[in-house]
Amino acid sequence: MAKVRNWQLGREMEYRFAEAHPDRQLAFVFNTNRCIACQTCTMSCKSTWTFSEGQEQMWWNNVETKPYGGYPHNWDVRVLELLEAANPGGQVWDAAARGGPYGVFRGMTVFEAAAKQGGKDVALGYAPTDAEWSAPNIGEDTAVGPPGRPGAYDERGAQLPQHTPWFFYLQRVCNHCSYPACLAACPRNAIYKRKEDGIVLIDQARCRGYRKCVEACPYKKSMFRLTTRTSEKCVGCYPRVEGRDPLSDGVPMEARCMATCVGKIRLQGLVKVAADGTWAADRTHPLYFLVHVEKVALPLYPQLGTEPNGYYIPPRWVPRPYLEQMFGPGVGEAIERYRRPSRELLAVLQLFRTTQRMIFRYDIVEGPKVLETTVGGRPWTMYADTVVGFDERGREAVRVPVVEPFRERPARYPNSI
Amino acid sequence: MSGRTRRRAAVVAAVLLAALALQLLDVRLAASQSATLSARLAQDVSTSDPWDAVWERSSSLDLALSAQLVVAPRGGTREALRARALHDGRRLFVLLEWRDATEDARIDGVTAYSDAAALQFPAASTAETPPLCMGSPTAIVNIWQWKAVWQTDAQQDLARIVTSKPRAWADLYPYAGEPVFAPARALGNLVARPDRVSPVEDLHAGQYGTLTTAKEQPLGGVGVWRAGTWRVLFWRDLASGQDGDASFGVGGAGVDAAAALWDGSAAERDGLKSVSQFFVIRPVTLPATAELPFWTAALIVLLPMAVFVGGMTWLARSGWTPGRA
Ligand code: SF4
Ligand code: SF4
Ligand code: SF4
Repeated sequence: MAKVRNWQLGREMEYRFAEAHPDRQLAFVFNTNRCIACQTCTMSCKSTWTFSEGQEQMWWNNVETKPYGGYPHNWDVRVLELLEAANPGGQVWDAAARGGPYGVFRGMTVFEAAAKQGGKDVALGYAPTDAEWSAPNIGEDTAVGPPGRPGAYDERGAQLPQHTPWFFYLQRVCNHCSYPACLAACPRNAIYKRKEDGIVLIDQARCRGYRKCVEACPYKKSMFRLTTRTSEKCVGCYPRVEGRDPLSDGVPMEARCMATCVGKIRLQGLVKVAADGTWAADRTHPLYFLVHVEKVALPLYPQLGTEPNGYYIPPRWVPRPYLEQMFGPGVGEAIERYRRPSRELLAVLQLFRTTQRMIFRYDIVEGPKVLETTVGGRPWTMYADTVVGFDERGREAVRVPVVEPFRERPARYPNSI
Repeated sequence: MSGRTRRRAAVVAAVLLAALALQLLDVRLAASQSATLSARLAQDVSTSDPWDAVWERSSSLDLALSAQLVVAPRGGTREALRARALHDGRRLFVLLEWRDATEDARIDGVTAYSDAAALQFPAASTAETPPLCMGSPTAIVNIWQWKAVWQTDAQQDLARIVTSKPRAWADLYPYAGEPVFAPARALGNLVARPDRVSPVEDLHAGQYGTLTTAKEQPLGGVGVWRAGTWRVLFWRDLASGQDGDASFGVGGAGVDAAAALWDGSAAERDGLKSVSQFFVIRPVTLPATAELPFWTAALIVLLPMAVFVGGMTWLARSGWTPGRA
């Protein structure tokens, strides 16, 4: 075990390998507030990568309804439970401590908990059964009732800041973690993280189907294929990321599940990684801006310790303790900033899912003031700015107005197309 | 010489005599096991039935196993193993036998694992003795692995979902014939082979995490589970031309070996295994003739001893001492 720095936890932690970072990292932001659970992302991954025999139960991309849904069933509850049992009462954040953007995590990661339990395994985990991998959309649209009154109707239940009956959609793909548990657990060293983009892959020539990665990945994004007896996982659509897709014009392109998102909730890109593993400052990179400047997007279960590279804008109507358990102590601030977005944030949010090409830089063309109002009792102003996204070669990839053009159909053309 | 010294001399002589007799008859008692397994010569070893009577004529070695605890994943639940060996002048046969209440010979679910067994030898090219587990970069080891599921594969195609999940239904698998959609198979990964005919695999390793399938597969193997006991037979030509393989000579000092077992129903795979200490497999020129039943052998040893000791005692009682007529 080596000591590595996990900036999301604001501290060092134990990991099987010494620190080594890619030059660039594949990362993404999902805006949970906008997802309609249409599963277009899910089907686009399935129809690209997992339509073959033996992959029936595989959904590298899935969208589950929280809190009851989960693919595999209850994956997060199971992992949190294991950690709690390993470190009772100790899985807490010290949000005030100086260390990282979310304070310091004082509890145990999956690696540290495994070491505490005698080091039988590299990471604390479990192997979901066939039944748990089935019914991937179990619990769909099932809401939590008012506290203490399950199933009861609450007239005022749908009022912000927190709804009483609530659910939300959680979109999940492999996080191409900076400290992947799947990779650390593989006794064959068949899993590797690419230097050029941080994508985590399973070498299908070396895998012997031991399924230690399936057990170890706390997000349960490594899956076993019965027909080849090897484990497979999300490949980050690497041919597209490499710019080898015929449509990509030689520059990095968003993954299939990202590029097809109907709800426009997804933005994926490649961020520069500094020598110490943090994101190199890149003020006008949309992902850097969302994660490090506005801090409106937060990592999924950062306490598990893998430093996931998927970030989520938390759903603003969901009780905060639930969200804090899922996204860490930055939830309150992130939701506040999302509710009353800065002029720049509002512009950057328009970039989601507007082009297949990855955006490496944005620029804002300022427009006139169009609205003055109050949000949450505080004044808020809106401008008709335009945001421009540039591809890897600095070419304009997309241009989107903050205020959508509004056209009224003249009365003499009712119902015409 | 006093009567006591005389008695002591008699006992020593009796023990020496018994030891000589045991050695001549190659009879082993439980407490006198050595860590060497002699592979005697037999021309009639069956390569289809590891329960064949020929194995009653081989020598055997009981090995205690312990859980692998050196690197994660750690574990292993099997406690004992009996090894036997024979050769026919051309091939070496090694038979492993152990108790296992369940026959885990199918991988038909994501949490199903196969029973398995392996032997490990230093590669013929290796001068130093490799570490017990998986060798080192300068001391390559040759591993022979048998898996129950590979044996089942030879009979039915578990790599088809319709075989492993008989109640499953799929309308269509697009591009079903294109290898790229089963990448492990397209890359020639042996675990993904749909046409597996052999339940054994020849592998090389030069430390943990480096296990690699050998180019040539010169090994033969067969395993049969009967009423709670596995018997698994491995065979290979005594000499192998392949780099990284072990080589065996008849009449030499023998070759270091270690064995490992995996119990599928305990989810054992990879490092989760039970391992033996090193022992030596030594092909010898002695033919594997019918073993004397234990009590017959014991009688042959004990009867002259009893006569000798009894005679000495009677002589001593009668006042006779050596050196005095
Ligand atoms: S999410 Fe899981 S499978 Fe993906 S890199 Fe992280 S640990 Fe590995
Ligand atoms: S990145 Fe590509 S492989 Fe991964 S979940 Fe999305 S579509 Fe599937
Ligand atoms: S395509 Fe987009 S909106 Fe639809 S389920 Fe997926 S993430 Fe949600």
